[in-house]
Amino acid sequence: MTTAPGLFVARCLVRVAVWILVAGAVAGPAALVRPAASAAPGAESPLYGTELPADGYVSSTSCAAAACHGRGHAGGMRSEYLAWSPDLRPGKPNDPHARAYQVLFNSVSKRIASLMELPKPAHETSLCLKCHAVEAVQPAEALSEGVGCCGCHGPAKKWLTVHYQPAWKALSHREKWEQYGFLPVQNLTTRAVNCAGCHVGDATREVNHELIAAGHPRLTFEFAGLHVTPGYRKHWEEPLAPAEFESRAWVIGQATSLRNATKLLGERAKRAESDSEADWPEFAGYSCVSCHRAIRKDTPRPVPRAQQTRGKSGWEMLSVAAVDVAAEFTPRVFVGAAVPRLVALGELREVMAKGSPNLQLVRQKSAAAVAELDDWLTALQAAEDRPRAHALAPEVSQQLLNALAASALTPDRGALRDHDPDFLAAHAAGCRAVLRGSPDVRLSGHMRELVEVLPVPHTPNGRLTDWGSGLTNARMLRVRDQFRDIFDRTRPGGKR
Amino acid sequence: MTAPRRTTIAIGTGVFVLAIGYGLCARPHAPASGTAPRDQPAHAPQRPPAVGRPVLRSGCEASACHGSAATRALADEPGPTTWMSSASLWHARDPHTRATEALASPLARQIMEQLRVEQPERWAADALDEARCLACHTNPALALHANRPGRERLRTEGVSCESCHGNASDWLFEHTNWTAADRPARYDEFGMARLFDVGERAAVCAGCHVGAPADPARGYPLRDMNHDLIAAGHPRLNFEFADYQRRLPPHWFEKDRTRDPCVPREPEFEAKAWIVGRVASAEAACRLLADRAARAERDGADWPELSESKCFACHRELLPREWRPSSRTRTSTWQTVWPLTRPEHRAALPAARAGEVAAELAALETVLARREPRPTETARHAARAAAALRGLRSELAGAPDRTAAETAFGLLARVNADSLDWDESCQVMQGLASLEWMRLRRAPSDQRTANPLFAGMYSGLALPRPEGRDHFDSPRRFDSKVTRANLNRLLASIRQTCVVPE
Repeated sequence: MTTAPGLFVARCLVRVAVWILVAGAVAGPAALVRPAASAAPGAESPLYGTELPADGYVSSTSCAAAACHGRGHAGGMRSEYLAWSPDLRPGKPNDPHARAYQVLFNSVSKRIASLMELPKPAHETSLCLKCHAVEAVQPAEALSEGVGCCGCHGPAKKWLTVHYQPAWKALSHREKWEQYGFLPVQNLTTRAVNCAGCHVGDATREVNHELIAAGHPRLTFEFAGLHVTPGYRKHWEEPLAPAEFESRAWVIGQATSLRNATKLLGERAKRAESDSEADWPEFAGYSCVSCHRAIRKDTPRPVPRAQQTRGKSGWEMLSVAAVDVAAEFTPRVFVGAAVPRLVALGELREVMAKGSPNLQLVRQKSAAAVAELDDWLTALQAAEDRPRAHALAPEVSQQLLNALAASALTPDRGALRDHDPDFLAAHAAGCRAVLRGSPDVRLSGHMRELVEVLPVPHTPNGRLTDWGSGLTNARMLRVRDQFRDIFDRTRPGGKR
Repeated sequence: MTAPRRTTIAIGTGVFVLAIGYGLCARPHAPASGTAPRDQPAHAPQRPPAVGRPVLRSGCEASACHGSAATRALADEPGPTTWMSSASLWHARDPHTRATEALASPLARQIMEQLRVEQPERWAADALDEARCLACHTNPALALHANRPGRERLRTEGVSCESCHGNASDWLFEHTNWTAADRPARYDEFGMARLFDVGERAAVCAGCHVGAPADPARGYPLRDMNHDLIAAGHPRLNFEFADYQRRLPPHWFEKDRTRDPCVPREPEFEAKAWIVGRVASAEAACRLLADRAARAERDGADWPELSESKCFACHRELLPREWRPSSRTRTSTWQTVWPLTRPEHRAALPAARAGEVAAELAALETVLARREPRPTETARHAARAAAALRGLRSELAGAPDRTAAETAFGLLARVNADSLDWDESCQVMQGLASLEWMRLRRAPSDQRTANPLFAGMYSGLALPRPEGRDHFDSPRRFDSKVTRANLNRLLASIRQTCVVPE
């Protein structure tokens, strides 16, 4: 250890020089590829397709010509309108978006309107129409279509007569959006962000606790899973192989729902800061079970020092629980994307774990976290827009399953890391997505058991599921055993 | 029989001498080094002013004082001589004897384990060393300075004489000479609690059974059974003064001590105890709320404190259950200080106080209606409400029994059973039970049959205890329609039979 000072300094200088070279080699091309805006914090987000224009929405019948998307073969090419529109016979697969407006007339909606003392019925209330129809559609009668073509594909006025011309194909996704307001939903990131606008909420749309208490089902957005909702009739085909699609959709879904939830949180904090009468904290941002917990001896206790602790609440647990796994797997699923930086998000999570989160802190931290998540989504969107040169490495599915199971358990795999049903549902949904893409007969029984045992939130007929009585210690042990077995079987050299 | 008795007397004398010795040492002043008092506010004086030292039970239990044989008192109703065996009676039957023992129970161990998982540095490992637990499970004046030598033995007698009557060193000899004429003044002068005044008595009980801020002047630590403790397993506090008092084996003879000669209480005292108890609970709850809010502001204590709300404001299962507060009734989620939180009932209060109480409670409720009430505002309004309620309590307690009973009757006559949630239904039933006890005590002893409607009400409101042990659950059997119907019938029947005599 006795080195001459001169030699020591020289070595240091060499090291520094090597690091500068390495950093330059990495950062140089990155700076060329990445849009400059993302480098400067606070600059305009380069993520495109996030805020839909205010007007230009046309009715879905504009797309339904027989020569366009209205051929008579539901499920086939150029029959997208038919696949979307409701079947006259009940019980057939269909697209619920076509009934979105119709449900505003049912008994649940009437009850919600009466409990919330809305001045007008639900189908005339902007609060409801924002998501249950394309509110700005012209003519206004077309509201009754529900969430029609323009709801997801963007206002068609500018591109209706353009999008079938040869020149259209030459445009990039970004150009189609920037010049015409066409949402390239083939890009899974663009698609997810647009779905999340209603299914999670954004600055102007939200399902808050007041609505839920009045009877509106809670929003439980799981992007990958929603594609395979039983009875849902897709009007398109995914170009990706199932394994690739599911893992991409899962990672993108995690980033997107968290981004929109965080954005909504920031909006709510801003509102509460300026309006002392606004509800704060907004309960809809927390796990139901944070409060709605049966007072019984066999109700599982919150795990100490877990994400949700005694008397404290789990913030956006469905989106947050497995987000670290999604971040870690970003470079493996999307070639060329880096592991995202989620430091501000971590700080926000700490602020939100407090009993009464400080408004100003929440607003600041959520803005910083949204910027981080936007950067992540920008990378994912860019990766989606690049031609796919590499197929998903075959071992990634197994690794992802293993990481998800590990994340649900404590480091010694002896217990669940958290007893919050949202935490467990988020991990189970990830496992299901991976297994849909690359089925593994050894694990299908585990998934069935998880689905059966886990009180996964779902709302048949608008009724809320009863978690309180379903949540018992015995069930938690069964859930733990399933995750433990998934972990063991997906580990290299683990159980066969 | 003689040998054991002699042994008992010998042990008793020994304990007495030891206890007096310890009692004299146990003056609650500056803590011994390394035993920082828990929960004592930062501004607490190092040396509290003298408010008497504990002399402990043996100081009262001499057979010539309050320790004569309780045989007769145990067999009969309390009478004018009950005071002579009050200590023996307490010793034989009172649940407060076991208060400290409870801290050594498996449940107490479990509670401490749960609390220490998250805050190991905040809580003592053993409940017997934890000032926050000892504050109510023994004489509060003995709770601080947890590890001081000898304190542990002093505490083992549970919530004994001085816990309620006040530390006796200053009045132990004096109080034998007081007469009806100078009694109230003497009590205050020497620091003995005026428990003969039902208002003061209810306030003393509420100190533990509802909670109270730390009182450095008396050496009392904070008495706050909050949601942390409930979540760790401590039963929720459901204080109902009149009911608790009826269940307690009385070691006293209920009489009006301000009159000479003392006169036994009339049956209307039952209804008076109920209304005074409600006001005392509300007052204690407001004072504790003010303290919690102030601590949240000052020390960053948990806020909002969840135990301020009714349990079922949050703990609701997600199925339409009848006990969920209906959005139509819009009952307050604040812990029930019914009937005072209902404007329509405040009209029945004595006119001189009703306005002030109504205004202060309404202001406090407006502050609390926010999802996250502001601590500063809450502290200010809660303190003002507590002061207004204190005035009301004194007035009701000082009024003739019949007048107070009329107030109670007036309140219950205004109840609209259609707009009550579970918590409030329980309070209404307790009030009606007091009126029923009043009616029964007026009736000749051979005609004392309780209204059969009560049995149905009790079983409808009670929490199921399926294992036959303490088992705190949701009121699953509560069916608001059935309860409403029963309550309306009961109200009609009580209104007919229970008129306060002119």
